[in-house]
Amino acid sequence: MVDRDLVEQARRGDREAFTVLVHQVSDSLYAVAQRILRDSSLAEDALQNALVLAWRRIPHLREPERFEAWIHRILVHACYDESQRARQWTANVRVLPMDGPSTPDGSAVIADRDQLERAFRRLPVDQRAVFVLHHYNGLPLVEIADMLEIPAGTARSRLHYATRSLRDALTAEAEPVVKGGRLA
Amino acid sequence: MTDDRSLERAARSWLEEGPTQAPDRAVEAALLRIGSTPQERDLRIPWRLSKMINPARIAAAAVIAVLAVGGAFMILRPSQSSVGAPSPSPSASAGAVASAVGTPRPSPITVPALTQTFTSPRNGFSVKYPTGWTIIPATQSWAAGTSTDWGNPALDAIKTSDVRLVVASQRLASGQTPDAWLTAYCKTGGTSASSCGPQIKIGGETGYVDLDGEPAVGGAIVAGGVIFDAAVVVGGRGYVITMDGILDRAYFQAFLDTVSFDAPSAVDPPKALTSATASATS
Repeated sequence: MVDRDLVEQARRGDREAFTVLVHQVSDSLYAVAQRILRDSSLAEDALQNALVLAWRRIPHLREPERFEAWIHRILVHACYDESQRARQWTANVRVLPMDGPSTPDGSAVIADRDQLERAFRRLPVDQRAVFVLHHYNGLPLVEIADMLEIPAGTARSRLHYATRSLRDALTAEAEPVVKGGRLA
Repeated sequence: MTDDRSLERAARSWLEEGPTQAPDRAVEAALLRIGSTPQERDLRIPWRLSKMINPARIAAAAVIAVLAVGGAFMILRPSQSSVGAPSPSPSASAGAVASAVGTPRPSPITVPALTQTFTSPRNGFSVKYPTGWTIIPATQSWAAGTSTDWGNPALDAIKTSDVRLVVASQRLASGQTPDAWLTAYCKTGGTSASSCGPQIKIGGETGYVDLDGEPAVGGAIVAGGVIFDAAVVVGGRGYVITMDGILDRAYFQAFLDTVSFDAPSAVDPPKALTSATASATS
């Protein structure tokens, strides 16, 4: 939780106060951006742009106590912009390191993650955003809708389609192997 | 892994794996840019807005907005004529445009047919609006000295998905002149109503525009929208009419043209309360 006084000071143009806020929220913002965009340099650009835009617009922030939701909304929109700007990325993506915890069935886990990675990258960025905010940040759909200023039904539908698309993609990848012993 | 529950479990675990710290270089680069980036002005709705903006700035912003809109209109839609209005002359000088600030500009946004009539249960006016718009009548009176932020129950609101019209009114305090009310409302520090901004016709009465197509932010009905705000005193009542969303000056004017004032029908708080609170305003 950020300090409301800092937000008020930043609203009045205090750069030092805003710098403190930046240090308080940038890790969380970057983590979200990286997970939505699945690319480190795009996430860095989104973070930078979101922080600069937040500085410009913070005088308009009406409810200082909602600073974090507000700046996350700015970040998500910055992610939309970066995603659009980098549409050609699919041929040149940097895949996240898959060095998660080892398990007895490590190969299956890695295969699942690899499938998830590929399927997730194919989702529209607005569905990815809702998926990440729900499953990574743990936000209820109502809060996500409020944060992104979209109807709750839209948030629900984006999560639904994201989940369904991931499931379908994973099923499609799995089925040829199971049924025919051939790669798709 | 393809049932929803195991998929979600796997997805959560997968999402947990990414980085959790912002690279220092990204944060430092952002702070560097912030160091040379000015903040935007706080453009809020009425009461609180105007004390931050002087009339000259408003006029300059209005001129810039008119030039930008007019220029974009001429460049992007050279062959289309506007709805019911002549096309602007491409040779109009900045001075000519500035002198026309109080005049509706040709509208590239189509004004819907204003076929329905809303009569306020509390604020003493009626206005026409398009079919299908949502009505939220005021349920309280607008107490003097309080702001008319979005959602204030003193506002009559008429809206659709991307445009909103809100109106509030209050009785002038005992002995308060229209000029005094308007200057207090606009908070320009001026001594006459003209400091509010350019004149505008509202249902045949002369009012003033204190927000003339400024970017609407912080609670606007739609991202990227603009806000218009006009104030007028009729029959001993101060009226504030605000529209935000995807509209332009001509669109705003089209609604203002349909306003009909009926000050005696307005519902006010008890007079003693009005006088007491009004003194804090003026």
